[in-house]
This record gives sequence, C-alpha cells and structure tokens, in this order.
Amino acid sequence: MRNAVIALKNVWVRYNGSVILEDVSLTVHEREIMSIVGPNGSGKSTLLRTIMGLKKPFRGTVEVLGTPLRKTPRGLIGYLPQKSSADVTMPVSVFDVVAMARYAGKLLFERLTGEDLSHIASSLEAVEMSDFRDRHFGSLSEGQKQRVLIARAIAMQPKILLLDEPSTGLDALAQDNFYQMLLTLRDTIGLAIVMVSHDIGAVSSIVDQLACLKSRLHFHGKPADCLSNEALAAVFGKNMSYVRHDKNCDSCRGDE
Amino acid sequence: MIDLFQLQFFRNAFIMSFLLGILFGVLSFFVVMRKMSFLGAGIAHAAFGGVALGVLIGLDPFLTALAFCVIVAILIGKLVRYGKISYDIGIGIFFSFSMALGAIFLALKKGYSFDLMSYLFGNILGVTPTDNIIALVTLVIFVPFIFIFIHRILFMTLDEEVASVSGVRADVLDTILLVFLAAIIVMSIKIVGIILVSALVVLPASFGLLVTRDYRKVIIASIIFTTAVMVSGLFLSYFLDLPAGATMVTAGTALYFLSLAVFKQILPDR
Repeated sequence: MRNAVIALKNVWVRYNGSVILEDVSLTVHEREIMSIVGPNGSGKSTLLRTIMGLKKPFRGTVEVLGTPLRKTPRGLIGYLPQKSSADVTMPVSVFDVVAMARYAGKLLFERLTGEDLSHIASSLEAVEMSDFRDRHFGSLSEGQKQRVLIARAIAMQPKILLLDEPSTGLDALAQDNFYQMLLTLRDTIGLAIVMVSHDIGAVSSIVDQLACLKSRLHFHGKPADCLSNEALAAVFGKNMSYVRHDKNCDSCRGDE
Repeated sequence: MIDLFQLQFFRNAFIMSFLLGILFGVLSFFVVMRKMSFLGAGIAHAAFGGVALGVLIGLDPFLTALAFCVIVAILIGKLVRYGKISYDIGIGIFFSFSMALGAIFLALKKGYSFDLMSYLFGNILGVTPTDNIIALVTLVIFVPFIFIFIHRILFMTLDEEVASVSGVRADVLDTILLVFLAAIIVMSIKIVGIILVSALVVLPASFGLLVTRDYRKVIIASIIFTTAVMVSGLFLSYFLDLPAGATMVTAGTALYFLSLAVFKQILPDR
C-alpha cells in the first residue's frame, strides 16, 4: 500500500467573498500522477494553492506528507505556476535559475556543493536542457523556459510536484516528450505529481488518477472510469467532446 | 588637487560619495529588478516629513529622517502585502502624506528659518565625519547581507510565489531590503538631496543592464558607474562651481544616454 502524500478532507476555500472550493476531499499517493481537469474558473489553481498553503481553507483539513500543512517543511513541494511571473529581463542564465532552487534549501552561509551541481545537471538533463545551461534565460522560447522552470522545480528534490497547466506553450511533439518526462520522474524519483490541465484527452492516457473539478469534486478515480462517467458532462456540460491521445489516436501516429 | 583634500568638507564629501557609490551600485540592481524604482522617489520625499519632524522636536533632522523613512518604507511594504495593492498605490499614499506632514510640522515651528534648498538638492558642506561612519557601518552590514542572501533575493525577484513555496522568506527579505533602501537614501540626502536621489536608485542598474546579461557583472558595472559618477561629479562641481548633487545626477544621466547610444551600436539586438 503506497503512502498518501496529499490528503484533503472536506476542504472549503473562499476567495474575495465567494466560495471557490466546496467540500473537496481527495488523496494523492506517492509515485502517482493525478490530473485535475475542469473548465475555467472551476477552482483548479486554487486547489493547487491550497495544497501549497498559499490559500487557507475556512473549513476542512489539508495534510501534506502526513503532517498538517503548516507543519510541513518547506522545499518538499516543487511548483510550476500557470503563467510564470518570471521576469525575462533578469540577467540570469539557465544554470542560475535552476541553482536558485538548491540555494533556497540551504543554510545562510552554505554555498553549492558538488552534490548540488550534480542535481542541477541531472535536472537539466531530465528536461533535455543541458546544452542551454549558459544561455540567458530570457532569450529562450516559451517551451524552453517552461522546461527550465520544471528543472528548477525538480532540482529541489521535492516529494511532490505541482504543475499548473504545464503544457501551455508547448507544441504537440514537445507535449508528448513532456508527458513522457513526467512518467520517468514518477518512476525513477518516485514523485507524486498533481497537474492541472485542460487537455483531458492528452492527460488521460498518462495519469493514474483524474479529478474532475467544478467547485465540487465530481469525480476522483481512474481516468477510464471518469471518461465513461457522467462526471465530465457535469463539469463541462453535455456537449463536450475530447480526443483521446493514445495508441488508438490516428493523428497522434503522424505519417507512419 | 592635493590642496582640495586639505579641505575638511571636501574630504568628507569625497568619502561619502565613494561609500554611496558602492551602496547605490549594489542596491540599485535589486530595486530595479524588483520594480521598486518609484519607491526610491517615495522614500526620498518621505524624508522631508522626517526632517521637518526633527526641526519641530529639536532633534538632529538627519536622525529623525532616517527613522521616519525606515518606518514609512516598512509601512509601504506591509500595506502592499496585506492590502494586496501595487507598490505604486502604496507609495502614492505615503509620498503625499509624508510631504503634507512635513509642511504641517514646519508650520507648527513658528519663526524658524529652514534651509529647504539644502535638503531638496543637497549641500556637501553638511556632510560630517559621523555621517561617513554611519555610511561605512551600513556598507559593512549591507554588502555581506546581499552576499549571503543574493540567490534567495534573485529567486523571489524572478518568481516570488515559487520562491515562497520553496522556503524563501520573501516577506522578511523584502522588509530588510526596504530598510536598507530607506537608510541609504537618507544618507545620500546631504550629497544629492531629496529631489535628485531617485536618479541614484535607477541609473546604476540601468547602466549595468546595458553592459551585460550576467547579474554578477551587472552589479560590478553598477558599482563602477556610481562611484565614477559621484566622485567625478564632486570634482566637476568644485571646478565648475556648480551644486554637487545636480552635477552628479546630470553627469550620470549623460553617461547613461551616451552608453545607451554606444551599446545600441555595438549590440543592436540587446
């Protein structure tokens, strides 16, 4: 039995006077990828922010790695926001950006060690950005920046990775590579990954669990069960359709 | 030249210009990157309220301005964080409020003749050895602070929310930066004055960012730029018989535009 790394119990969250999350309960286990799907404004990003402790529920409990959220040591959650506020004019290299994550967990007078450098190198390698380590961060394409920010998130060696619409700005091939990378991270490092996504078809073929959210959680379980379930209609409306990008998808195979 | 250093006031002003050159050179990068440039102008104007308070209660206006600006800087930071408003709004509120308080304090001190121009545009005759010691102590505290926390400050500058989740205490570091900003601005008032000091907050990093895309080199270029501008401005002002602060700021602005033109020729894609 795998350990639960995130456990929300009957969580209610308010923002600007409106209730955004209603009675949400969900569990994410180690070595598990969960995708949260739902329409715009359904509370997906708020749910991630609640898991990180940036939003406090007015009812219910959040436990991360077996402890109440406020007692969870910082640095165990890697996070990639929906739209990074990263200032691209900042005079920092790709290496500098990833190194920031290693410094964040250090004591005041500690400098980078050989071990840190090797984690930075392996994180860049995991996102296939090793060749860009000395490039100015702001000069990269959107997809490349996204990869570097993911490298920064995993360079901290977190136990949990939270990704808010991580495939935004990536082309189809880059998206596919990206999802493969997530599977590798899950299997090799043992990360639990929670990913907000709009693209149900794309994520359903790689995730272990799907959560359909529209203020309330309408479904929480295996993707196959969700896709044949009324939950999608409840969340997205009866007219929604999706393309499932798996081995049966003709267009995914390209010009074979 | 040697005769010039026989003059106590010039020696004091020279040392202060040199120390402020280093302080602003380092500070400017973080202020510009954290988009707090307007805060420099806001805090400098708040100093007017602090100076007037000193005049009213009979304390050294420099010390009351220092305390007043540090408090205003912290209050702006708290207002921005807890009120969830932009720095522009927070500064805008305290900017006018502090100036208004200053005007009231001076009005309450009836019959006092106040050398307003010295505070607005600086007066190097006012720099004392004690001021230089305070600037040196600030330098000795500020530079190691930046050296120790530079990566955390860079992280929160690049992406504050992610830095917070990763364990960086952005609120604490921001408050400390604001306190240093206020202290360094107040120290520079005797040299450049309340009105002109914001140029020293913005120009050094703007110059550094023209030269390089490596933050370490940006900071070094900023320090060289500011010390060169302040020291050469001091000498120029003496030989041309012009106000020191205004000469420094004019020289710095001219050097910035000249560098901009040159670097646009050398590196047109930058």
